[in-house]
Amino acid sequence: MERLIAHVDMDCFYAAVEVLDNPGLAGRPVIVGSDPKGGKGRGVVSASSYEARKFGVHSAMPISQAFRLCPNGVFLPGRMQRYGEVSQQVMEVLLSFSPQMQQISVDEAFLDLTGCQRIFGSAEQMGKRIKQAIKQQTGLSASVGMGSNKLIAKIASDLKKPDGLVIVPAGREAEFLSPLPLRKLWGIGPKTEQRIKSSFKAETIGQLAAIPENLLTKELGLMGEYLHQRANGVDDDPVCDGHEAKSIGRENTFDEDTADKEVLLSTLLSLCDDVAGSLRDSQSQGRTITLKLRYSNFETHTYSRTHSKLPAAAGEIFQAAKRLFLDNWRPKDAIRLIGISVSNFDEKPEQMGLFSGDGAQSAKTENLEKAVDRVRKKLGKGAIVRCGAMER
Amino acid sequence: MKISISQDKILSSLQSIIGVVPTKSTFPVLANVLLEATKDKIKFSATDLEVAIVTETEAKVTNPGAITIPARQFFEIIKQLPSLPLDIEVNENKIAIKCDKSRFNLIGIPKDEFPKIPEIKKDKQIKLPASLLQSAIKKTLFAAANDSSRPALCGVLFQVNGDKLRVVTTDGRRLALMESLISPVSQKSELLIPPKGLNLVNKMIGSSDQEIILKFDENYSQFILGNTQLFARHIEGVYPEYDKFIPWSNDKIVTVNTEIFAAGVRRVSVFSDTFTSMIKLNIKADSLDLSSRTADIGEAFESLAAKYGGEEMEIGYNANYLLDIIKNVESDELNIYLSAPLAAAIVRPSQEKDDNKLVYLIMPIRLPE
Repeated sequence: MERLIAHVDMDCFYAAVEVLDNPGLAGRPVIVGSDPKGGKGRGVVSASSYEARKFGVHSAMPISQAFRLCPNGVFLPGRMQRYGEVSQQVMEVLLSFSPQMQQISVDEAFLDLTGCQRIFGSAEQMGKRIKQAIKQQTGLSASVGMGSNKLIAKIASDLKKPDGLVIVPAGREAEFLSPLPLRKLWGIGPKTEQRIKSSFKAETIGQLAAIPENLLTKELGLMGEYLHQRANGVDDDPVCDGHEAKSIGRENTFDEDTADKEVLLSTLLSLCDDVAGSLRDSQSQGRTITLKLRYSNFETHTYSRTHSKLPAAAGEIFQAAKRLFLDNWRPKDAIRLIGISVSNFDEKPEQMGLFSGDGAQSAKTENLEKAVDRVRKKLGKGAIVRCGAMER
Repeated sequence: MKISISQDKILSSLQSIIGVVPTKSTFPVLANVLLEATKDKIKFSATDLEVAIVTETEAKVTNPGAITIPARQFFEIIKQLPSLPLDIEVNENKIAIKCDKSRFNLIGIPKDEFPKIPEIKKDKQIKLPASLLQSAIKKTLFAAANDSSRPALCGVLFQVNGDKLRVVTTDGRRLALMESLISPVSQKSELLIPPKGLNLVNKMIGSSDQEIILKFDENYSQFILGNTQLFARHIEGVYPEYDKFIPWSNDKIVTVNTEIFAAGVRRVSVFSDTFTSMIKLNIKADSLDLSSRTADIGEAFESLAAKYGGEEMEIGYNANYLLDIIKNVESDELNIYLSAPLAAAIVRPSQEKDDNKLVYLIMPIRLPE
């Protein structure tokens, strides 16, 4: 059966929530981020309204630059708790359409709508209903992309922002991707983009799709196989609700760039301590430690090392991070940001069940199936059927 | 209604039924105990609708009658009174209790509002020593599920077949089974009894060495010991065919001293994984090594002497599950029957007590890579 996946992306979420709570801001360039301090602030822009984007402001831009571009903008510090509340409302709306939801961040999520057409109508009707329901429940607008997989849905939702709805019919995936620039594909960052451009003279996803897989694999290794499939619109990645973090990290932007080794190391130690705490909370242990350094000129480097033994305690993580730091930093250049993350998590022990499957999940499924049986017994076999099994 | 009775008798009657009185209930009358006076005895009944206990005692009955009395207050009063005769007189729903110089008045609820105590219609029954039933309950109850989404697994299964009684519990991760010989019965029966009922049966038995009679029909089991009876409503639901999952053919056998094993597991469990309580067993020729590790906190290791002839294996178990089992093994040594690290293991005493067969099954924990 053809899958139907939707990607729902809230339009400039933080800024939109600010306007929602303070309608006087409507139509003005709203920039949520750290304090610009009259152009001397050091953080980054978390979100900006479309009005602010007209000035060239975009998220992740240094706040000082945003201030130069848009000195009359409304700069707000951001209220994460409030955004969280609204986000929860949005996710609840999405869950009312399908229980198979994967929340990606505070303002975007995937929904697996396969087989839901009988309930909610065609893909287009469904997309409209989702947007409408979000609008009604929260007063905010969302852009929705729909297609046969997550890749297509995600790219589609981004095409007609704000308040867009883009549906890519099944079978037209490659055609849809063809004219788009390489960077639209997941997994293609600036470096990979450069390699593809220089080795194959490919500028668009369509040109990438036309490169034989073996050539791509020769140049890019395993990544080549992955990109070949994605460029051709193939993506089997399921929408999974049990989303687990793949890495746990912390970073710190200094108020003033520093080349002071003591300051850098003590900051690193406190970041490691934090990371170790989060690892304990989530009962995870990871083998790979990654250090991130950003110099004053925004040049950013990451250095990783994978250990055969699990570095468990904060002290051990710090020792590993310190080694990475001392081996790699350039003592003469001031550092703007330092970060540490742990990934490549170890498997957790898992209690085995006596009766195949076991676990609360299978008990739940069993209960559900029993309830279905009871309904069928009482009201007849056709009274309750799986959505996907319904005749069209 | 008017009666005279000694404080001791009424106290012991109330003690045997008070455990069933629910602390909270939507039906006020369930917080009361039913007193019924006939000829020369009084019957006390209490129920939470799942379990009911009825007990009788001798008394001087001047006027027969019946009333329900707030159980906890009644019990509290009787407990505090001296060991002297006391008079109870009931007018409508007003109850007066007199003893020596004390006098208490309570408001009762009429008998009609009290739920009917079940009657076992068909006369299927088995008889067994009370102490045997008590030990079967004690040795199995811990493995019953405590999860209302799986009601059947929350029950204790009694299987009566010929001259055998099997008492079985499982929560899907471990299983306890005790098989005892009884006086033969003609028909096979299966009863699924709520743990609360069996806990109360245990209390009811106390240190008695009398015979206990178990009568049952489809809906209820009735345990009769002396002049006290306990009714337990059966749990509805299908019990899994557990027998199919017991790996009787496991042939890699570890033999270890029970006390030493228990002490080792207790020590090593200090650093067991907080999520699964996992400790690791490394089974080698003639040694059983226990180990555990908690990130950032510490680790433990202990090597125990053991008899083992099979290939070396490393298996994770929930330390609490192991301890629950070891606690109930009375022989000096116990045997662990294994097949593979990720398969069910059987734990049994190396020497059975009397004619009973005690079998525990424990599922392993998949060790992280």
